[in-house]
Amino acid sequence: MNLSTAILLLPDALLLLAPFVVLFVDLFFNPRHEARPVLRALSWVLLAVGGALAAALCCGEREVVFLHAYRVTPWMLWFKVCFTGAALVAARMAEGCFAVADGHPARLTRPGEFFTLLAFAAGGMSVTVSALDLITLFIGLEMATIPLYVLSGFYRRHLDSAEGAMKFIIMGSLATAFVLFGYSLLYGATGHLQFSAIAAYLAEHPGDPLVRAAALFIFTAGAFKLALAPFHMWAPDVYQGAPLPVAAFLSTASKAAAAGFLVVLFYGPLAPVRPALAPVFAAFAAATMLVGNLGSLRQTNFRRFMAYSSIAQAGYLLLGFLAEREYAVGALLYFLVVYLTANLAVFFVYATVRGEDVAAVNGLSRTNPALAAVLMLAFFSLAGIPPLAGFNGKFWLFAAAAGAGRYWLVLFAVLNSVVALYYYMNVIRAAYIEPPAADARPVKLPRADALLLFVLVALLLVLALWPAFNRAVFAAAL
Amino acid sequence: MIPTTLTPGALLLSLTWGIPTLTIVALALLPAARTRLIRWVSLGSALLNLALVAGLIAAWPAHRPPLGAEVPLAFAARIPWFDQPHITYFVGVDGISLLMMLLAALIAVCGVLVSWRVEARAKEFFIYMQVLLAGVFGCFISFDLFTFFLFNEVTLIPTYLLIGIFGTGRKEYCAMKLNLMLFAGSALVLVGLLGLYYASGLHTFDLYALAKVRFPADFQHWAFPALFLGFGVLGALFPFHTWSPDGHSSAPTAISMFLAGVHMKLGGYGCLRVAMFLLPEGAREWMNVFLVLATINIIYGAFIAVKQTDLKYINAYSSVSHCGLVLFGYAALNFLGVRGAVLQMFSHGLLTALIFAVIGMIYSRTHTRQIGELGGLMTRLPFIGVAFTLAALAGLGLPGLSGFVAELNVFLGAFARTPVLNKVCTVIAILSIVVTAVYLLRTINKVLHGPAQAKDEGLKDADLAERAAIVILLAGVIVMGVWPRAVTALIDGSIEPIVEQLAR
Repeated sequence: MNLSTAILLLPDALLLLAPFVVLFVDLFFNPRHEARPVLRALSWVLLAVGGALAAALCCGEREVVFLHAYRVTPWMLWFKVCFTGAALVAARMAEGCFAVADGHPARLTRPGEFFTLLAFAAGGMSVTVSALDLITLFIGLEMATIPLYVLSGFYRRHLDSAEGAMKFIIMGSLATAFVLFGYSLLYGATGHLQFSAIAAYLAEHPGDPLVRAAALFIFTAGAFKLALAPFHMWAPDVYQGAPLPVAAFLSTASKAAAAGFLVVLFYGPLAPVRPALAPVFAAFAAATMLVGNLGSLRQTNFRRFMAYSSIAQAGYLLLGFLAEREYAVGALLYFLVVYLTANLAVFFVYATVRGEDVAAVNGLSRTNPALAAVLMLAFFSLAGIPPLAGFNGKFWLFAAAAGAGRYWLVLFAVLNSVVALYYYMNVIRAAYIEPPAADARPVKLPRADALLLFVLVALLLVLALWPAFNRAVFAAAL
Repeated sequence: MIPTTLTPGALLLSLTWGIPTLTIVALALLPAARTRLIRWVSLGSALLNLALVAGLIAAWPAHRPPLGAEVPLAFAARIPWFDQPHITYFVGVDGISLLMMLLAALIAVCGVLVSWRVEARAKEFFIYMQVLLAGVFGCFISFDLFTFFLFNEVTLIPTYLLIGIFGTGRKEYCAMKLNLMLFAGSALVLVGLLGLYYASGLHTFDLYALAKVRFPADFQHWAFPALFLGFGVLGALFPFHTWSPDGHSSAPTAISMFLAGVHMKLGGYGCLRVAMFLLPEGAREWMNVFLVLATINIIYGAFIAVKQTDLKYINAYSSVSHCGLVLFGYAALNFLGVRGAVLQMFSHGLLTALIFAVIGMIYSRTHTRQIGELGGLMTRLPFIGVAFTLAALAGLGLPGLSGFVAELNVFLGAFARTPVLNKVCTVIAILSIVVTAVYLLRTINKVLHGPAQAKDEGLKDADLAERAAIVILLAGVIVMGVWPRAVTALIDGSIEPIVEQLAR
């Protein structure tokens, strides 16, 4: 292992170090358990991870394999970019929740634990996409999920939060059971845990029914994690109960991790089975889009609204799995990065106005025009309106389905986007056309947050127009 | 070979959407309180764009490619953009797009002029208007279907906000309806475009590369209606026109002008450029269906207009009827029909913008658009009254004004086709002129003539900005009416390749 391959492992090493740094800082340098020192520590580590990722992406080798169990390649690095970025923004969002006055419903306490768990989850996701055998994959997935159970119940005195967390644990455990059952079938059929060995077995026995059954179970588990209909029921309740930054993290990084999990398997060892599962993917995609979009229509609670919105987005995401690897991974990555950016921007705006309800942004264009503009652009990106990157992201995925010859599905997906446009525009209407609430005060935006939001929105435009990013993600997948 | 770098010509073309984009940045940086400056910047940018388009038209005869050229475009450049999926920034112009750009530039100038009194949230108003302009211009110069589609979709954001914030009546409902229906139309277009991309086997959105492909008949069988209907929604094809009366009637004046005058034409333009040009067999197969629908458009729009009492709704339904003529012309599938349709797009664009402008001026003075409450305005507002009368006469096809030229071509083309259905539909469509005369003359009569009303005492006639807008639009109508060659010389050479392709 030389320097340019070692650099590929650096981001993961730093990311896995992050929770311990936070714990350490909280233990020794934070006698009064304030949010600021731990947040600062976490932010610096995550920024370092970001730097390492950038270095790995531009000067690293194509691949490094570590102990036959762990692998890092460029497309995995892009997934890690997603996790790190989402964790960074969610952490920044959380600071506001620690800062509010005692007794405010959004108030969070015990920052040390909170940020440690957040970092653990991001680390687990990072492990998931890099796994090279079923055990590592399982460990990564659990390491990503268990902290999220705790985080979603972090409002210990709120009934909603407890209820959401409980649902999340039960459903999550069920998903884990599915994964394990799938793995055991796979192990039973192939006799191996190593991806390479499983792939070799499948090359010889492409039509093994046991493997297909295993793939179906594993996909079902992924469907739980990705909140695909009909396994989406937990998401609205969990989002509603969870603290806003956690909901933001769940709807972004956690989705990306679940997508990464499916990519690892279905474009990895289980690739020969994928064509047989294509009708399943198509059916799940159609159902998920429909349920998500129709579900969003009547939501008044912001987090439930975003939960259904992200269910619908996961439906679009699934279309990517209909394409061949060379196209699919790039399109999925492009979509994910853009979706994450827009979703985080939306959550950030609501975190700033401290809104529980969708209507909290009424008249925002009067009280804070810049924030309203961010909200509008982010929602238009989610709706897939150019020149925002969300348009390209969706277009690439729809093209994936069209390339597989499923034009009806494309039509169904685009008509679903019409429904989505309706509810997204309703929020924009609230911000731009509704008058502000009678007691509304100008919303103040700290300078650092303003910069962060500016970066997010600028990304939405830059990613759409500047082809280098597109080229990078598509090249990374090769 | 088409250059793959940003040549000076391509740069000039890109400036047609670049100027509005730069204006957006400039306006965004201006403080919102300085409305005067904001107006002047908007007007300056619109005039600059008009000058640019005029320059391009002047340069067209010298730069037009020889007949039979592979890509019959001037100032063309095809710059690689995305590799995966394969997308280029392919710009160029031919006579048709130049004519459409001229229309857009003229109406943009007039739109700013008639919005001179917008005070509340003026900064936002003019910014959104520039976004709309950027989208429309980008569309007319794009010959890569992805960028064409992209620019088309860009117009959705500002449309919603312009109607929703600045409109009148049931503005929020109408804005939402317009946007959702147009987006649904785009859904069909998108499916069609992706179909072209993959079914061609070329993995390209390049219009002229796709034109060389003979698509299999079963593909054309479903892709043509998807594309034609998708664009047809924007072109107010019956029964998908319902967004347009609501949307155009509740929009603020300048936006009604631009939406009905230019934006809607993107639909007709797309039908011709993409659906018919690329899928001629599909066009031949399906055209009877669309012929009947377009005939319904014409006659139904006219009859509904007779029933309306709100001036804006009268004109909006009249637009539905007149836009039906565009699609009706296409259905002839011959040179005269297509030429008539293109002429009709230009003529109707000017006319509807003029009428919406006049209605806006009447409304801002009398605060009503109900024809029952209006009367005798000719004596109070002679300038506006004369403009209204001329526009109405042009609308019902009086020779010497633009409407006649376009309609004559459309009807000649349509009647020239052999099938009985075409002849019957043509006769029905021609009869609709009578209905058009009914509602237009009745409106003129009620609003302008009769005894002057006491409550209208002291109304001021059009001010300088409004007069300028009226004069510009009327000049276009009259020039095209008395000297149609000025327009046909521009477009004829560009229609021929399309008609040739249709016969393939």
